Amino acid sequence: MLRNLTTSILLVLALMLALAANGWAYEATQVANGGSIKGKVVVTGNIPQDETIKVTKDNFACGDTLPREKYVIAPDGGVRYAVVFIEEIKAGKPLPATPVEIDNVKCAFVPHVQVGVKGQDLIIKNTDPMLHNTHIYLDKRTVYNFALPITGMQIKKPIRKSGVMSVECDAHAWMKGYLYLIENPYITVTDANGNFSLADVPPGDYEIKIWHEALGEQEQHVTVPAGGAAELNVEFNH
Amino acid sequence: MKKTLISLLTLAVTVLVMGLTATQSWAVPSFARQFGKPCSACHTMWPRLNNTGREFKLTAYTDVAQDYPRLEGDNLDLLRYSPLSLSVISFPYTKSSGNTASTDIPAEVALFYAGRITPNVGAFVEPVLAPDFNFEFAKVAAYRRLGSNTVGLAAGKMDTGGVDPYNTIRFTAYQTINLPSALDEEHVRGGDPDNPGDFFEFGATDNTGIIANGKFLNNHLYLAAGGFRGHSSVDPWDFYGRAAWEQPLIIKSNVSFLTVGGVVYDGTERYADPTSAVPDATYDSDVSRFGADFDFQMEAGPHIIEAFGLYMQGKDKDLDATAGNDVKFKSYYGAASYIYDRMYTVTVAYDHMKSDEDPSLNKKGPSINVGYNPWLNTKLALEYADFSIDNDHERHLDFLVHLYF
Repeated sequence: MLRNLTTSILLVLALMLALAANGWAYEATQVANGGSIKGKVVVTGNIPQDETIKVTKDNFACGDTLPREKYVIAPDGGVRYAVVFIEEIKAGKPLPATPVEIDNVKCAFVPHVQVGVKGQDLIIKNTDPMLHNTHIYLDKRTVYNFALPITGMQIKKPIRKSGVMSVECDAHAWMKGYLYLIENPYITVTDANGNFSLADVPPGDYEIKIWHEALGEQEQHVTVPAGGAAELNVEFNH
Repeated sequence: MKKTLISLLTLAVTVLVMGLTATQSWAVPSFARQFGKPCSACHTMWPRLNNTGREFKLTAYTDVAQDYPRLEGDNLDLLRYSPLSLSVISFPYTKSSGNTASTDIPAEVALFYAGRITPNVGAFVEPVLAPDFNFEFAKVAAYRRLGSNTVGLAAGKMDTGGVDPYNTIRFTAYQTINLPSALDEEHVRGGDPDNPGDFFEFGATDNTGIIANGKFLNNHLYLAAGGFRGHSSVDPWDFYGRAAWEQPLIIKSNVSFLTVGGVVYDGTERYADPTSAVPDATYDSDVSRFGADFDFQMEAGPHIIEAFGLYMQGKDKDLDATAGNDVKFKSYYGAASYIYDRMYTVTVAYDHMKSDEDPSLNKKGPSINVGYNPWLNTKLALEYADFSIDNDHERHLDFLVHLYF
């Protein structure tokens, strides 16, 4: 009797989990007459200045100072390295076929902020002539830990988790970057002028999230027209 | 038997209670505090070094954290900026067959300092406070990058494992309580049997050394050479040489490292002459050790697998001031560990040593060590060993508590 009851409960739980998982999954489809979301992220008020990192090791390869890249701001206030993505979308364009890459170059992560999608591959490279150890954390827990002692070495791993991850080097304490991973392919990072674009978006209403490591995060609503572009300009007041 | 069961039950309850309350926190000891990194940055499981830990050691502990107040949530905030850390090793329960169970609390209390002096020079100092005060380590190291090569120099009070970043021989063995016979101070040349946490390093204790070392060929090859003198200030200098090749391997997209190495220790030990009536008379015994070792580490998310093997042969000549009184031995040791989430470890090891000249050195048998780190500054370990020593069967059960702050 007890055994049957336990079996029944487990079956119901498994069914609920399967249904829930199916409900959360992103479905890749052909996007007919898709639109785009274009815009710019700017900072207003006191334009923050980037910090300078003192290089305490391996100066021969990395120089004496490095920009922290926390605030990479264009003269007109355009913010680089802001992440822009659609928070919830059930179906749309396929996941990118190319892997996400982060390289260790002159004791800095290139790019400083990288984005990707659960299901993509992640490649970590080392271009420098000494060991780097790329250690990626989600809420202080190790997600990936790549020792790269050999120049030119690269490691590929599948992305199985999502969230804002901090990227650090265990051998060079100042190295810090970010990896923002979500579960749909509508994610991008602003360029040097603060511009961004999300293409092949099915027409409809969306909540857009904008995240920056120091300026914080915002949510905005956009309506994407069929075959057209929705404009989204984001302002962080500092 | 009843006491053993009670001990095991107590441990199980302790582990369960601590397991329910434990979280994987940032590390607290001095390295982590100074460099703003968790223990896992340099260790698979303390004190075993991973690839980054080896690099850190070779580059003379010269890293510094940019933002000191980064370690939040650890349980020892007051010590956050201290360059010192404290290690306390205790054996609340230790028993060998034929003897009654005993406790050894604390078995060893030691302070550690490791840190940068200049951008290219660092120091590592370990004064042991109890049971007897002595400097286990007091070394200064320096390094320099030459393109993709790294060269270094280390000098001071240290042993061979203390200078070798590819220290598969010492630190890999140290995960277990019963050390490989070839390294065990108790087992070779009459070391201190009351100091179970101590080492025997190829036939020499209380060493002073100076070693040049470096990594070459795009960080694949580690080479070290230099001299050690031990036992006393009249002890002659011995030669120490070490080579290791490290090969990264990608196995099912997981990073792994295979290190294969060799070591040679050759020289002369000078002892007090027990046969002479002349005060301070000494005699010389030539010693030699040749070894080969491998180490394999693979990390896949929360799972870490390590395997370690050591073969060593040695010869001590003219012992007890008697010409021709030579003792030779051959020894091999293998260990494999599984580490989960840097909190749980299981290590299985097999130790074998054979000497035709001195049957008391003959030892063989397996051991199993189960470890648990409820916090990263607390280690609990239970080890069971079943050895045949000089044809006598001997079983050991040890419960270790290691705290480091």
